[in-house]
Amino acid sequence: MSFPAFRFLHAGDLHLDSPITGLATVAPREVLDVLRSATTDAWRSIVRTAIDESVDFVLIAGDVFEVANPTLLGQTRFRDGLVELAAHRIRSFVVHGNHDPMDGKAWAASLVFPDLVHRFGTAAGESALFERDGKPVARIHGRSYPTAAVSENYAAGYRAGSDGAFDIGLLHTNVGDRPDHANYAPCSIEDLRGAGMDYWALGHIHQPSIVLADPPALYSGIPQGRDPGELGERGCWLVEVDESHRVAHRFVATDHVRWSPLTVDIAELATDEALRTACREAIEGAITGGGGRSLVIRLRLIGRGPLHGTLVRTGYVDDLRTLLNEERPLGVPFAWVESIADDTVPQIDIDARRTAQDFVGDYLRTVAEARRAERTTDPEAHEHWQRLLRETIAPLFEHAPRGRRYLVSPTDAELAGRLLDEAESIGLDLLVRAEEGRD
Amino acid sequence: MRIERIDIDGFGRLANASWELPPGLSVFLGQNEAGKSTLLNAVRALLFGFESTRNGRVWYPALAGGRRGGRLALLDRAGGRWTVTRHGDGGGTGSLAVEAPTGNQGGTETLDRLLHGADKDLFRSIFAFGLSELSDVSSLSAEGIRGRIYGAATGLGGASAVDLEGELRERLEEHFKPSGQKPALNALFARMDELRDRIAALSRAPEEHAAAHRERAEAAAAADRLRAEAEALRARIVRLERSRAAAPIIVELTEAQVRLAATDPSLDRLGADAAADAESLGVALQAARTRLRDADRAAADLGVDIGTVAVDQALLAASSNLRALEADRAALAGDEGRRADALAAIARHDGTIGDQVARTRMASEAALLALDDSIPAIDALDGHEAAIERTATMVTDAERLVRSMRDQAASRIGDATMESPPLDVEDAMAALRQVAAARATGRSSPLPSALRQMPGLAIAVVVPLLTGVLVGSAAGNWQAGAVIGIAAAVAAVLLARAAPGAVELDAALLVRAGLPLEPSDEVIERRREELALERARREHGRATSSDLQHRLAAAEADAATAAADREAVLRRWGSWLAAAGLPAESTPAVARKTLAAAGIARRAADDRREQQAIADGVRERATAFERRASTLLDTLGIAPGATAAGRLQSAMDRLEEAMRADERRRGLIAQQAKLAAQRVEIVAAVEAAERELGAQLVATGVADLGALRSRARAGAERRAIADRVRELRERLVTLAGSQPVADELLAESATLDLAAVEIEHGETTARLAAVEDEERAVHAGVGELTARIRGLEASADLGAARQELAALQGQARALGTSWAATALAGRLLAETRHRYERERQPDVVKSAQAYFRQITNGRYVRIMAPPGDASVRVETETGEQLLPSQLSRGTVEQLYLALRFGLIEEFARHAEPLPVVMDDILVNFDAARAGRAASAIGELATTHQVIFFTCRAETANALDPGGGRTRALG
Repeated sequence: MSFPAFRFLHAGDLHLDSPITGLATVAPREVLDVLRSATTDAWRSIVRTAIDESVDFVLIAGDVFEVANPTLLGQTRFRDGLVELAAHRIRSFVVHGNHDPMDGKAWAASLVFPDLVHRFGTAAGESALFERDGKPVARIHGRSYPTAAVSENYAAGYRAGSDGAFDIGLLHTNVGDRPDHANYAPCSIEDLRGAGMDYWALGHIHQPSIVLADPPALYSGIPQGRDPGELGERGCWLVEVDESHRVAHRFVATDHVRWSPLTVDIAELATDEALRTACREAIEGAITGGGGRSLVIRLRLIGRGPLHGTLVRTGYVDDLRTLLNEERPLGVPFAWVESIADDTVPQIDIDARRTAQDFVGDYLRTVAEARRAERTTDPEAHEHWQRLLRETIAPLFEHAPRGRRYLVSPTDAELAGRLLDEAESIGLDLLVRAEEGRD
Repeated sequence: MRIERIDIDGFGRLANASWELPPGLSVFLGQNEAGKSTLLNAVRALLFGFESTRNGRVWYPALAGGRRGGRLALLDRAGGRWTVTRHGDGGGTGSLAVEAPTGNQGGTETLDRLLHGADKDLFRSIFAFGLSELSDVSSLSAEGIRGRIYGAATGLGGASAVDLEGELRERLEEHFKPSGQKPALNALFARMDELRDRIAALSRAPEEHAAAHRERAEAAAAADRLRAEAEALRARIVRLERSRAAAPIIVELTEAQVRLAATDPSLDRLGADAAADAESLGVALQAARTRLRDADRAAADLGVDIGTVAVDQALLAASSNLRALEADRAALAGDEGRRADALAAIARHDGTIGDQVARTRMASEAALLALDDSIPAIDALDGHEAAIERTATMVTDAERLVRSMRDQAASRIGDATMESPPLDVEDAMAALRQVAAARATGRSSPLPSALRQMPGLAIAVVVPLLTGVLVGSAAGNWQAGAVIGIAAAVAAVLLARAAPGAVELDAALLVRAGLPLEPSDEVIERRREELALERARREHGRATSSDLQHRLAAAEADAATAAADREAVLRRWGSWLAAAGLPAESTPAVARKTLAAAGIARRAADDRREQQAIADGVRERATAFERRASTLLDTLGIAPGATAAGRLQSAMDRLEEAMRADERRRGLIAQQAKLAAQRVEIVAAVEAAERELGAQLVATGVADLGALRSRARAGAERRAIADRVRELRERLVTLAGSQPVADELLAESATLDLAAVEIEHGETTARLAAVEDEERAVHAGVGELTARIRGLEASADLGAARQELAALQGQARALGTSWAATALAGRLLAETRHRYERERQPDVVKSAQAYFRQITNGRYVRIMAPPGDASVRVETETGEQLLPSQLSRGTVEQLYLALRFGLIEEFARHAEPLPVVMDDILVNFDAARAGRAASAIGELATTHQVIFFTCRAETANALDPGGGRTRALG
């Protein structure tokens, strides 16, 4: 049987005008400006892609905004995009997710959306028909979240139509109860298979992925990575459906700024200039691979080498970062080195030093004892070290009101893990430096 | 390490003072004010810097002159000499120079390393102390002191764990302080507080947006209401203005309507044009009557005119005949031209014929015209002429051939004569054969020797011969040249033979043969070919002459035949001439010309006949015309004239005149008829006008036109009033805008109070202005709200604030993490140091305990708790534990002296032992304990350099019984 061919764009998790988080250093104004508009710029790219690709409609799988951080600008930009799509006779279908539920105040009631936009309500069983020349082409099934926390299995309530139209399930959901994501509108693969949909346009998981091949069930992911954890290209799916209802999908990157973690090994580097050159080469490589996008670069220095002693000097890494950033103008696109993590180790035999009967050995053993106390069965030792470590960081994380307000106190595991490791490194660097008579 | 030498350039009352110090103990004995404390502080200052200025007072200024400061010569354990030079006017480090044993220069760091991390406090508390420091319990408990004591053993070089902890503390404080604004986190927190407040304010944008939308909708509704009210007010104003404007119209209208009512309505039936129509009818009637009179007058005049016109009717009746005659006359005028042309042609033809007769030898015109120049005759003439020419040509050719043959024969005979040879070819050939035969029979011929004997003869033969050949060749006839050459040679030979010593006969044979003397075979052969060729040529000439004779005879025979043929042809020609009537002896050419002339003459004669006929015809038609003209003109009574044509012209003139008179008469008669018809019409018009006027008067009910005029005027007045009423009504409707409104205006006019209208108009106008102002204000408000909405929609402030807050949160998190790790590092370092101290502490206490027991002579046997610890206790030999507060001052000082010694020894266990400087610390000790303390100091001096200042001689003696290590100060 032959059906009309059509194409659409599947996007979601726009999180419009929400901030880019996780910057470890002070960003220049030029960078901040780009970051601030990155999510709305990504939305513009989606709209532009839809127009350029002459799609028939656009699907938005929830989380257009964040109730916690709503901005009128973001909503206006969203409406403007929908208006632009409508001006090109492109329809839009929108469901609301946990970040922009219908009971939230994210949506300014005073904003008027074009007629070609269909926003799904919260009732089960709602669908909207996309027609061409008066004939049904695709039926979009959707359901918006009434509240932020939805525990009901929405997918189980989706049922395909019987009019021969291509059935699309538009849903904000956590398929398969992914543990690292809020378990909203949870459903299983079997639920997706059983609904009879021809395509599932999913939202909620920010990593673009293909959940199911048949019927195709795809997460569009977030169109713009917003923190160092959201690496790699981000965008939306361009989906084409042929006359036999065969589906072909292609990922279209829409992100304007990309997080770029880089690693430089100092093992073979002997001089400051060699280090800068290695960093520069790593950055140039990232720029080449960035496809013309702005890059927020996290540089991690690793390895054991003669430069370690230089790197641990107060202010050296900051100076290195400043120098690297000064080497290229901060236009658009930019390649801004956000931070440099010094994970290098001194040129000493750590294991030998751990057993040495000297002050350094004592220090390393003390740290080891503190680390062990986290998992020791000796309640007294555990209590002692827990208290000691907690007391140490308490002035900032517990006693200072603004520390409590703006900082998250590290967990016991973090305290005895990452923080102790870092503390060990700091102390060891100091002691070794003192031993060597360096500054 | 020990001090080898002290040089004081200027310090307090010391100036340019130097002391050499031996290893071990040195005792400085001096009275009070001798400079003991000054020297002690000078050593401290040279090692650790100057105390800061307090209350504007400099610590130990160079009162005795010299540059404030000096130098120390230090010997390390390995015997290396270090020089520490320090000067300074104020407090602090001053200018420091440290010269290492290697000669290298250094500064504070070098000195710190040399002192193993011992700092000023440590040195003051443990190594260089006076009585006041000795009793200072807290100095021993200070964290820094303890840390450095133990730190000396940590192997950290010049730094101690305490330094490192301090460095970490500094780092922490750069990041965060519980109070303060400068540390990075404090500044971040402050900015984040600002941003939180700003975000809270900006987050109200959606509500503000919604509120602005509501306000704008309300304002728009209010604007609509105001617009409606303004419209109503404007309508009311228009109505009032209409009423005001309509009032005078209505007044006039009312008045006009009254006047209209007063007139006779029946006048409306009269019609607006009744009077005018009647007047017009009267005028028309009068005009018709005038026209009738004029027509009658014109008819009478026409009758008179017609009577005066006379017409020649007879002439008019003969007009067709006259016109035919006139046509004939005109034709005859043309014929006369043709006749003249014919006569001219006849004369020309006569000339032509005469010329042709004259050109021929014919006797007369008739004889010429009788000649037959037809084509057969011409063909016969052509045949005769061709035969004559052919036979003449044949005779001429035959005669020319005969002449030619005769000339050739004569020429041959001449040539044969010319060829009579001086050379006999046959003889020459015979001689050549003989020569050849002689050469064939052998070479014994005498010729060669004879020729050898007669070279002149050879030359005489050969040279002419060759010369002749060359000359002949140059002239193109080598044969003639050869002949000439041979002849010359023969002559030469003859001359030679006649000469004395002439050649022999053999040479004559060669000459005969035409050969040179001593000819080669090749020459002989070439001569033979020449002679053969000459012979052939001569034979060919002979044969040609014979043939010529034969052909001459034949040609002569042919010439005779041709002459006979010609005679016959000429005879036939003569016969033909006679038969044709042509003159005898005429040549064919003459005969041809004669026949051609005959043809020309015949064609001229033919045309002459035709022309003659034309001329004759014209004459006949002229004669006939004359006859007919005379007859008709006579009939018409035209006077006789010279010619018929003249009479005819006269008749034609009279005919024209008669025709014109007749035409005029006919015209007048036609006018008369037309006038009569017009009169009939005019009479009918008069009658119709009279009828219509009468009917009009009857219809209007008046007797006459005057009465009608009067009534018509009354009707016109009534219509004018009615028109005014209508006009006023239309103006009213126009003003009102519609008929219903006009009716309303009329209806209300009865009760209309114009004064009240004016008042209401003023009030309404004022209200309208107020409403319009309010509407404008509301519209402005709508515009402002729209701008506000757009501003809110376009505002990036909230996003920017959130982004900045997020960025700051990230930085705060990173700084917090860094701070926590640093704090933990510091804490772990301190923890490590404390452990280290605890582990080392027993050695210190043990050592101090030994000193304490020694000084107290066993009164106290044990020290408990860390040194300097507030909880330190001592145990007597009886086991009693006492707190320092329970001890005497001297015993407490002894306890702390012992603890210092313990610490000094602990420091020395891991680092270079430092000099120990004590300033009269035994003053509170009893003699026995002072003595034992002196002994203890002496023991200490075995491992350390000890410099002891005292003002007491007994103390000096106790320390240095021999006095060898004691020197006076001051």
